[in-house]
Parts: sequence; C-alpha cells; structure tokens
Amino acid sequence: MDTKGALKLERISKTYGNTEDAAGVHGVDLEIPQGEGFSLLGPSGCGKSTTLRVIGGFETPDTGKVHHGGVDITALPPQKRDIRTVFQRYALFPHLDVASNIAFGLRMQKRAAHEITKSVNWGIELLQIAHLRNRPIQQLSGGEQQRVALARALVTEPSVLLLDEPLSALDLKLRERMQLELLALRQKLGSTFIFVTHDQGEAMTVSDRIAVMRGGRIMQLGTPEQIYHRPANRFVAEFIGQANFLPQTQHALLTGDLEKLPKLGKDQHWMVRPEHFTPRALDWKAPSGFVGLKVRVTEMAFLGAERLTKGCDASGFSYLLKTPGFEPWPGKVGEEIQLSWETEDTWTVGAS
Amino acid sequence: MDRRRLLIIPYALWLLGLLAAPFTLILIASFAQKDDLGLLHYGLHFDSYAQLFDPLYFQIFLRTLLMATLHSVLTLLVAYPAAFFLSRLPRKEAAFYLTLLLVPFWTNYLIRLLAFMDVLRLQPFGIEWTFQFHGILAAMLYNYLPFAVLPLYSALEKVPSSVIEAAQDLGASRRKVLTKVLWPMTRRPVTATFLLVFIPALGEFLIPVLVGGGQNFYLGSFLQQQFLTFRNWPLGSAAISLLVLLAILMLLFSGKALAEEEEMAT
Repeated sequence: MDTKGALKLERISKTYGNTEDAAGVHGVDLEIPQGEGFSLLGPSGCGKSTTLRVIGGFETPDTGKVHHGGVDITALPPQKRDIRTVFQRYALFPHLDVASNIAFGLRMQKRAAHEITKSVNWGIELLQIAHLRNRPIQQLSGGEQQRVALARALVTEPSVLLLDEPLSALDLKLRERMQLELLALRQKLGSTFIFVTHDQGEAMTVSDRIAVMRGGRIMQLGTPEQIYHRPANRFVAEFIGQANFLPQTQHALLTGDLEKLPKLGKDQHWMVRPEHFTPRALDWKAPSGFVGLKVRVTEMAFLGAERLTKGCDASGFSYLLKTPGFEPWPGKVGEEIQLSWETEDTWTVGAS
Repeated sequence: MDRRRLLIIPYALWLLGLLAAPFTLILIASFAQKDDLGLLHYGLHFDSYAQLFDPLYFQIFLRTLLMATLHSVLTLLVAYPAAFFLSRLPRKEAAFYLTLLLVPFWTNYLIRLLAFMDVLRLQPFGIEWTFQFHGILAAMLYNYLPFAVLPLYSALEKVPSSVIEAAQDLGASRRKVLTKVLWPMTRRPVTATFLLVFIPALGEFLIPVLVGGGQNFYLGSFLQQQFLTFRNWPLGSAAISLLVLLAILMLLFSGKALAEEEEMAT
C-alpha cells in the first residue's frame, strides 16, 4: 500500500473533559501536500500538540477523519502509519547507545542486518554524528540528542515527519543553526515536515505555510508573508511579530493622503508594522500615498541589527518604530519627530 | 571530621545492637553443641551444619526455596502490570490508588490473614485453597503485593510516556515495547523488588502454618520448632546462618550482575 502523499485533516475534534494539561481541538481542517514544511503555531493550550498527536496516531479524534495519500488512517495505530514523530524531549531509549537508538525502528521492521547497518550509517552521515556512534545517550548534549532523535526517525524513511517543539530545549545559537539544517534536510529528503511550535520566528524560518491556532481552532492559514502582512485578526497580528494598532480616534492627528487609508469598520484598527514607519523631519510634507504623524520620542533601544524607538502622539497614544541599526537615531528622547508610512502598508484588523 | 557523619550514629547503634550483636550470638550458637538438657557447649563444631544436609531437613530448605521462588515470580507478574497501569495515571490519581492498596495494611497482620483465610474457605473459583500449596501462594501474594507494587511504580513512573510512544511510533508492538524498552529500562528495580519479596518469604512463618495447615514444613516453622519446642539452638542457628548466607550471596550476585551489565552498556 502506497501511503506516500498528501495529508488531509477533516473536521477533527478532540476534547479531554476536565484534564487540565491537554487542550482540545474543535473542527480543524487542514490539507498538507507531500514535501511541504508546515507549522502549527500558537500559545500553549491552543490545541497544536493535540492536532499533531492526532496526525501521529497517538490520539483518536472524537469526530473527523485523517487521510494520508488518499487513505483513511484515522483508526490506524502509530506503528501502521508512514509518519514518524520527533518528541519534544527527544524520547531516546536510555538503555541503548546512539547506533542502537537509530537502528530501533529498522529492527522493528525486521530489516536484514546489512540493510540496517547501511541505513544507520546513512542516518549518522545525514545528521553528522559519526563521532557519537557508540556513545550512551546519557553522555549526549541536548543538541546531540536532537540529532539522534532526528536520525532515528529519518532512517525509516517516513513520508511525513512530525516535530513537537523540536528546538525548544536548545540555546538560541544552536536553535538558529538547527532551523536551517532542518530546512536543508527537508529539501534533500522531500518528506513533509510538520512542526509544532510557539516560536513565531522558528515557524517562519522552517515552514512554507503556517496555521496559527488559538482555543483549538485555526485562526489563520497561510504563507509566512500572508500571515505577517495580512493577519486575519488582532490575535494573529500580535502573535506574529510586533504591530501598532491605531483606532479611528487617532485619525484626526494624521496628515497626508488620508483618502487612501482603508476604511475602518466597527471595532477595527489600522495595523502598521514597526518597520513600516519611517522617521521624517517635522516640516516633511506627506506626498500622495503617504501618511504622517507627529510624535514625541519617549524611549530608545539599540539591538544591533535594528533600533527600537517609542514615541507618543498628542493624544498620549504610543507607537513603536523599528529602524535599521546602521541608520542614526531618528531623534533624542523628548524630541518631536514625524512618523510616516505608506498607505498600502496599512492593514485593518478586527478586535479578535 | 565531617560533622554530617554524626547523623548516622543512631542508625548505626540500632544496627549494631539489634542486628549485628544478635546475629553474632546466633553464629556462635550455630557452632555450639547442645546436651540433653538443651544447654549449649560452645566451640567450633560443624555437627549442626552437617545435620542440615540430612534429607529430612534439606527437603524443608528445598520446599521453602521453591515456594519463595514461585511466590516472587507470581507477585512480580501481578505487580508489574498493576504498577505500569498506575504509572501512566496522573500523579494524584495514582496516589489515590496506591493509598487504597495500602489501606488493608493498617490492619493487624494476623487479623488480616485470618480474614483472608475466611475468604479462601469460601472456595473462590470452585477450588479448595486452605491447607494447599496454591493457598499458601495466594496468601503470600496478597500479603506481599504492595511491597512489590510500590517500588515498581516508582521505577516505571520514571519512564516517560513519550519513550513508550516513540517505541510504538518506530513500529514496536505492545510486546516489543515491553521486552525491548520497559523491561531493559526497569531491570534493576525489578531485580531489587524480586529480592524484596523473595528474602522475607524464605523466613515466612505464619502463612505456611495457618494457610498451609502446617502439614508441610517450611523454614519458618522449622526454626520456631528448633528454638521453642526441641530447644535445639545450634541446629536452628545453623539454619538461620545458612539462610542469611544465601540472602547475602543473592544480593552480591544480583549487584555484581547488574554492575557488569551496566559496564557493558557504557
């Protein structure tokens, strides 16, 4: 049976009664083509892990179906699925060394000995862990365990790999390096990689598409660009990066091409990303397609690649501005400057 | 001197006064000879040890070993799955069940045993239990089960569910999860638990007498008889010394076997 292919979740629901640490999901629909990098992103308790466990076969949904390569796999146990999971804390076997851990899945499949050796070597090469081959698990660092867990899953050549917060236990430097390595691994193998993460930067780095979840539902599904620039609501906008939300009441303070600003409905705000603001001189006149706003600088921080500046308009409403680190400060604290942005960088979001 | 060492003094005194000293006396008595009045004549005599290997007495040893072995295997077979079940529950729930398991043990041992015998007299499963070998095993199981479940629970509880799920994910059947993951990960505590129920079973007195009806002699009754009825302290002491030697050998052997295995793993 060829189960390689697209993964499809249809109206998946799963609730846990009163169990506090597991969040349910309510009517999740997803379609993930073969070879895609996909992230389930959201705060803890949003149902992303539950969704992953349903795909992996560790949870049976109350209602809904899971299809893989056109075959209904809803009732199949994890052993019978062409899907592997890399667990959050790696879940390596402490009584086996690195090579035996990697060989575990192959042994369970009763592969021939020479084939097992060949595959283990391939996995060890793939993850660059030849020097760890005969080490006991207890002597490995977090990053090394991560590589072993990946190798252990990948040597069985699954068509889908599920990764539950795979990098959360690693320090920042290593995390950034592994993100790029995971990207390269997926492109090399052509497998589908589905990540669960609460780290928006990680989700944007490793995925072609992201589903932002909250309260067991998908709030928005799209490419990182769509989700960042065109968030479906305020929750998504705030979860992915930083944003300024301007209510209708600030309209009176704006100058420039106000006609081109999108119209606000009830409970809606204009959303402007901090890097879309450009600092200007006070006498700068906004041309067609631009809007201007006077603010007094209240706080500044230099982060290396960028500078963060906070400003306050005449009504006391505050704004966050992000400028490249190589540019000089837009002004000193207490000085007045003008913020400007392009009307087409303005997006509207609802309250939730 | 490290003042923390002082903390061990009460316990050391306890061991010295109530374990080491009496056992030394037993060891001395085992090499003594008794006269017809039961008085001891100290010396280095091996008569009592030789007497133990008389088939009449030796079969008691063998019977006791057989009973203790079967009992320990049976207890582990029942306790391991139960402990595994408990280890997968949320902690609070597991604590509740573990308490339930211990509640009967707030009752006096003798009363509890007599009550259990009343249950056995009802002939559960339509078979005779009292005055039977399997009746002894049933009573032993009942009595020792919590002592096996508790350490096994604490061992299995340390196995993360994700490790079991990872094994399943990689294609392991339930049986393989048990033989390739759970068992190797808990071999050490299982061995310790085996000894924990095996060694006391060697000296178990009340159950063979009450449930077994005393038809067949076990070490416990044999010792009681030698000391209290026949006043043959040397023979009783020799039997105890042999028992202790056996227990020590088993502890050493299991410790060494596990250490070697550990070395092979690293």
